[in-house]
Parts: sequence; C-alpha cells; structure tokens
Amino acid sequence: MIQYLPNELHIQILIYVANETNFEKFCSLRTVCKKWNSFVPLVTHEIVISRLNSGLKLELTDWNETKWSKNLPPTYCDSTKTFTFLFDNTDGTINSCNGYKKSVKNKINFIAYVEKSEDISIPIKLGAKFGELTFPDFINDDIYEYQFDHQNNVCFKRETNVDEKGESTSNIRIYSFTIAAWKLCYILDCLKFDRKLTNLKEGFQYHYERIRYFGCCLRSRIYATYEDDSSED
Amino acid sequence: MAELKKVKLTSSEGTEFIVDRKVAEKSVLLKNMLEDVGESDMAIPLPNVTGPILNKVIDYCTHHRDDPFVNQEDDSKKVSDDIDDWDAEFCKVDQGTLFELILSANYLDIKPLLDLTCKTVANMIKGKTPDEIRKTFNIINDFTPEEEEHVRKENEWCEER
Repeated sequence: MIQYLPNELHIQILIYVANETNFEKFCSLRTVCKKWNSFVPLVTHEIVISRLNSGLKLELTDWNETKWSKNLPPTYCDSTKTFTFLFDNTDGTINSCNGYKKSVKNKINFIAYVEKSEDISIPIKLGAKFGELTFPDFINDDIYEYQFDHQNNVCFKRETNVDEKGESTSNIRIYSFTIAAWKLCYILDCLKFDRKLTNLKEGFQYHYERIRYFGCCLRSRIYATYEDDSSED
Repeated sequence: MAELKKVKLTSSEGTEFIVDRKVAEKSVLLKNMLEDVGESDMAIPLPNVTGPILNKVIDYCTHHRDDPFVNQEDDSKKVSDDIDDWDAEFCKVDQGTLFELILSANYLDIKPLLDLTCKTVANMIKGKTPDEIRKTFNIINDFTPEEEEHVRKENEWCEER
C-alpha cells in the first residue's frame, strides 16, 4: 500500500530514513523499484541542502590564501552524480579580488573543507583532498577548469578591471566547484557526529589548527621573500 | 465549570462522532473550518476518512489535546526514533490502517500525527535490504534485470572505494 501514497508523503518518509542512514546505504534503496529510483536522488539532494543550510559551510582556499566560503546550496546532477557550487565575488571572505600576478605560490594542495560550527564548542572541519593545483594559465579563455577526475573539478575565472588611470589589473576568483556526490555525502555523514572520527576513508582529512599555524608561519616567510624579490626588481 | 464545546464529525460512511472542539482543533483543516463557520450544530462531513480511521484519529487527538503546537519544517532534524510509548503503541496496527492514518493525517492536516505515522513507516524501512523492503511492503520490482543491473552499476558511486 505504500505505493499508493502520494509522492510527497513517500518522499517525506524517505527523508526520515535518509536522516538516520548513511548515504551509501540509503542510495541502495534505488533498486527497490522504479518509483524509489526516482525518489532517492530527490531526497539525497534535499538532505544535502538541508544539512548544509543547518550551520555547515563549504570552504575552499586559493593560491592567495583567500578563503572562499559557500553557504548557498549546491545543485545536484543525477547523471554525473555530482554537486556543483557556484561562487561569486562576495563569497571570497578575506580578499575577494587578489591581483593574480601577485600570487606567491605556484602549487597548492587543494582541499575542500566543510565546517561545522553550530551547536558544538570547537568547530570541526572535514575536507576531501583533491591533490595539487597549479596556478591557472589563462590563454584564450577567461575560465580555467581543473579536472581532478571525471567527477571533481574546480573552475577559476579571470576578471580584468580598468582603473581611473586606464591601467588594467587582472583578478582571479573561484567560479565553480564540482564534487562527487559520494564525497560530499561522506563528509556530511561524518559531520553528523560532534567529534572527530578516527577511521576516515582515504582521501579525507580533518583540519587541525596547528597545521594552519604552521602554514601561516611558512606563508609569512614566503611573502617576505617575495616582497624582497620584487623590491630588487 | 463551563461546558466544553462539542463538534460533530461525519465519516465517509456517515457515522457521526461528537468530539470536544479542542480535540477537533488539533486538525488544522477542522480548526480553519470551525473558525470560518463559527458556532454551528451542523456536522462536518469528512468524506476522505472512514469511521474506524476517524476513531483512531480522535483517539490520537484526545491523547495529545494539551500538547503545544509544533511546526517543525527543518528536514535535517527529522529523526524517527523519538517516539514515546503511547504513540508507539498507537501505531501498532496493520499496514493498511497505518497508511490510512497517514493519508487522513495529511488530509486533516495534523502534523504531529503525520510525523508519527511517517516515522513509523521509516522505522520499518531502516536497516532493510531492497529485497526485504519489497517483501515488507509488497512492492513489485518493476525493473527488468538489465535495468536493475544498470541502477546497481550507477549506484557504485556511493559504495566503498
């Protein structure tokens, strides 16, 4: 008789199931029947958005140490099984427009963190590691896309502004970030716990403050070197 | 002591139920109707609810008549294991009755009852394999073997890697 329930009630029931089942298990419900196959992605999308809206925040860091945060929900694509976040200038929380020529690092380890800070005393950040990202080389286009693999990619956009003196400066910003649904869902599943788990899957890591402290020290030195170099020029 | 106001409800078969207005007003549908109509002795027809189901619904509303109004819309907080003993006992019914209760709670707009009955069904799904779910709810597997294999393959995205 469950099959005779209106779709919205069916979905409501599956939302309860999804909230207490990990995403891997929940997705196996797609094979129950055709109707459930169509409901499961809808519910997954709904649950991801609702969890991200309840105090979770995606955070990406670019070469200039600009932190790009995203509170707005991503869109889900069922054919590629990915979530895509779109960014604009207002999403860069530290320096929204950095002169891209001033970037000091050619390569960074690109990690997408999701931060949970509500209802817990110490925020927890869990990230998916995507590997090294080389500084974008814009040639003919103002959009530069890094394909980490067939599901995961990040796009950067170059924007050129002309100031009052007629001098143009180029800035780059994160334009979009696409993450495999299973990775995002896995992160959200782990963040349901108010503590750090000890047995994460390979390719995921928590953010530890001491790493950031070390990173800051290191970066300060690089910046200092960079400034020295430029003054010599 | 002031006399409690009564409301007459008529089920789909024409059976009449007389309930306290406060109990009837647990249903947002009835509350709005009563507010619109004002004082009246006329029975309110409920053509979508059978007598036995209406009886159960009245039981539920009577037991929860003094509960505060809840309006929980946040899907992320919807969990299915916070059911108290009385509610759990209330939901120990056959599947047909349970789904009728869901439909009636939805029609009468009684959110706590709708949540309770949906949670009960969710608990029947949790932890079961697709095959067990089909058996539990008598769902026909309408995939061809090829289609099922295709869905299974598509599903590998979320499996251990």
